[in-house]
Amino acid sequence: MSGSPVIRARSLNKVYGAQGAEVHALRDVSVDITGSTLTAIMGPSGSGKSTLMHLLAGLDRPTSGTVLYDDLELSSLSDRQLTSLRRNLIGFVFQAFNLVPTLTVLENVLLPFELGGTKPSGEHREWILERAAELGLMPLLERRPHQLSGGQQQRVAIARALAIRPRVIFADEPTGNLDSRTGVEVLAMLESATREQDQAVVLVTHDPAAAAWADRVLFISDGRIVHDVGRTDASTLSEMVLELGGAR
Amino acid sequence: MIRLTLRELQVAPAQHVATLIVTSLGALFATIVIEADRVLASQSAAGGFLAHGFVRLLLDVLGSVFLFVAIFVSCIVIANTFGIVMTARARRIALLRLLGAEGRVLRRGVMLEGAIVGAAGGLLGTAIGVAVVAALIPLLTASGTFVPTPSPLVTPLLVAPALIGIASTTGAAWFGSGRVSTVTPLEAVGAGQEPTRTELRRRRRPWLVRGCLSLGTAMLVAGVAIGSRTPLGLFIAAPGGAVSFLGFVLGADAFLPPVLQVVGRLFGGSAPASLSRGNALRHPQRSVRSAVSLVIGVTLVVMFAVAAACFSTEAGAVAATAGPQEAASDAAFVTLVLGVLGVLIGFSLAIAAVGLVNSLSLSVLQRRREIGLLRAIGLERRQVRLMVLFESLQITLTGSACGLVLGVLYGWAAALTALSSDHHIGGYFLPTVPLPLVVAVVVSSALLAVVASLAPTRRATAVPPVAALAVD
Ligand SMILES: Nc1ncnc2c1ncn2[C@@H]1O[C@H](COP(=O)(O)OP(=O)(O)O)[C@@H](O)[C@H]1O
Ligand SMILES: [Mg+2]
Repeated sequence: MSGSPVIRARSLNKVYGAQGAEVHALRDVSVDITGSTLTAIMGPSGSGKSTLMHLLAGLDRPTSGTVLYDDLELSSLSDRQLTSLRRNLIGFVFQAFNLVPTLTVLENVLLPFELGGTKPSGEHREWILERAAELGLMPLLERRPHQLSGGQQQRVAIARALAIRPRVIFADEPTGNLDSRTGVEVLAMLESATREQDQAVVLVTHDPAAAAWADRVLFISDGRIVHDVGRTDASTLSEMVLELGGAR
Repeated sequence: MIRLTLRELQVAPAQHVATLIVTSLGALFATIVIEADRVLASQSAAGGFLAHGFVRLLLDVLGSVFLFVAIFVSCIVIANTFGIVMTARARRIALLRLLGAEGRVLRRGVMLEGAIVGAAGGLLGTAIGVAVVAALIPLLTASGTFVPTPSPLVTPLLVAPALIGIASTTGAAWFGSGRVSTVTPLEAVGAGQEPTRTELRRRRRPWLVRGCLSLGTAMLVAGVAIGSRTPLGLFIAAPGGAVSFLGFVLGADAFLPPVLQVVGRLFGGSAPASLSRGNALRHPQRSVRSAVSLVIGVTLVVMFAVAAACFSTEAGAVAATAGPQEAASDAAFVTLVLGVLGVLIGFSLAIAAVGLVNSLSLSVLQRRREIGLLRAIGLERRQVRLMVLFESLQITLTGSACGLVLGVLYGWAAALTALSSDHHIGGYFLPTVPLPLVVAVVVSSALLAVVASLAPTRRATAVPPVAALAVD
């Protein structure tokens, strides 16, 4: 089930704010993210989930510690190299505002190529359109984001994330704005990416029902990883969350 | 309501800095026109170098035309600025609407803000204008350009710039705050999606546009026709030109987007270029108004340069009929007037520049999350910079291209009206378009684009990729 590590994070610390008013968002976090695995990051609000995701995805730099993609150490990269790494190796699905409003659905899906000044090969393009078809986007390709429902927008974001065949997809609360049925569809699509494309998917969520889809669940509390468990059902996860909330 | 208005001014005065600058520039502009007219009049009386009445007449006509233009340009920019401020304030407005405030009442509050800022700017500009003229007269007298003659500075007419400042800013605030009525209470809840271009484009009173265009053009043509008998045709041609130009400006929402689109294609198919093409047309009203304020400045520059070039080209004919001395005196006067006009035109360009910076800044500010998203999925900083620069270039090049065409037409019409009577040339002629002028306009509008995009670019490149994730 689990592949080799795609990302190795070691002793990550993140401190926000000026001296005297520091917030330790992450304390000494070490974790491996493996391929073909849906990893959920759970924890109470303000526990450091998003911060961890930002560091793993090269969106932000740690105060100390290292993030390795294979042998590439993120802190040694320039902003430009980091941007190119995100463009080529990482897919993103955010909670809201995933799409560029001036572009059509198809243009949004192909945007990473456009940004890199490249074009997918004919075969690659076919493949992308197949994924779009699986996501039910074919009738929507010429629409613009404001003409889509929230669930449709998330599916476009997933298609864009898949399009570059990334090593890893990060999804921050991707179901946060969706009704539960649409949310389940989105989660199923993310899960199938790990099965069919051997991708690592990192899912940040505070929702036990969403985390129950994961092969592995990391619990964060107060900037530390406090539990690291395999596939777990939603009610057990809820209890664990409640326990953590009580401990705070 | 008044309390809310004062609160806005007190808590966030920064949102009106652009309006204050523009109103002061406008009032300064008007003050200098008034003062220049007075001083030049007293100079011509004392110096005797303006022998025939035609030149004085020309001076008075130009003075009034420029006063009108100053107000006109600043109204457009202020209306645009208020539109921008209202967009930035949409959430707050929506909340007030949600709590039961009527759009009409809110809009009256905005007008009051305009009146207060307009009064401040009007007074400031008038004071600076009087000070500048007071400082210039001794300088020009010392250098021998002016003869020493008493030139009283303070005239009751100086109330005009301040009053005009208040009136135009209030009116422009009303025009620019149309957005207030379209803010729905729902926007406060935050679910609002960005409206499309077609939804945004409102009916722009096409009959008014068509009426202005046809009436103005008819008057312009009539003026030119009368000009073949007497330069008094200017009194019909000038308002005709203004009215037809007003028609162009009112209809700019329809005329300019296609030009913007064509200009946008010049930048090629790179990612920053295609993104900026979309951005420039995303709030077409905003881009169009920024471009229009530029069209006005460029049209004026080109109009006067072309008129002057026609004058020089046709000067030989003048010399033949009117004698070399009169021709020399005319030429000297034209040089002087062009110098003064150059300064005045500089104002309208400065006003346009303020409007452009403002518009681009907001464009960046509103797209913070989108820029963050683009950065997250792989847009480099360099490309962000290019994207903003392209948007800026798209607006300035559109403005200057339209200004060039209109300016040549109006300048030609003005030259025909003023010079084709028997008194001068005695016949029609083709326009003379100085090539250096065309180059200068294109180069300076490109420069303006670069300068105007500096601050917005800094803001845009500072947006971190995590901004895409911000939940606000
Ligand atoms: N940009 C920031 N500046 C200062 N503090 C921040 C910033 N981002 C997050 N924090 C703080 O870091 C902690 C962790 O935040 P975050 O990672 O967003 O938590 P979560 O996603 O689990 O809700 C919180 O206490 C939060 O207030
Ligand atoms: Mg979070």
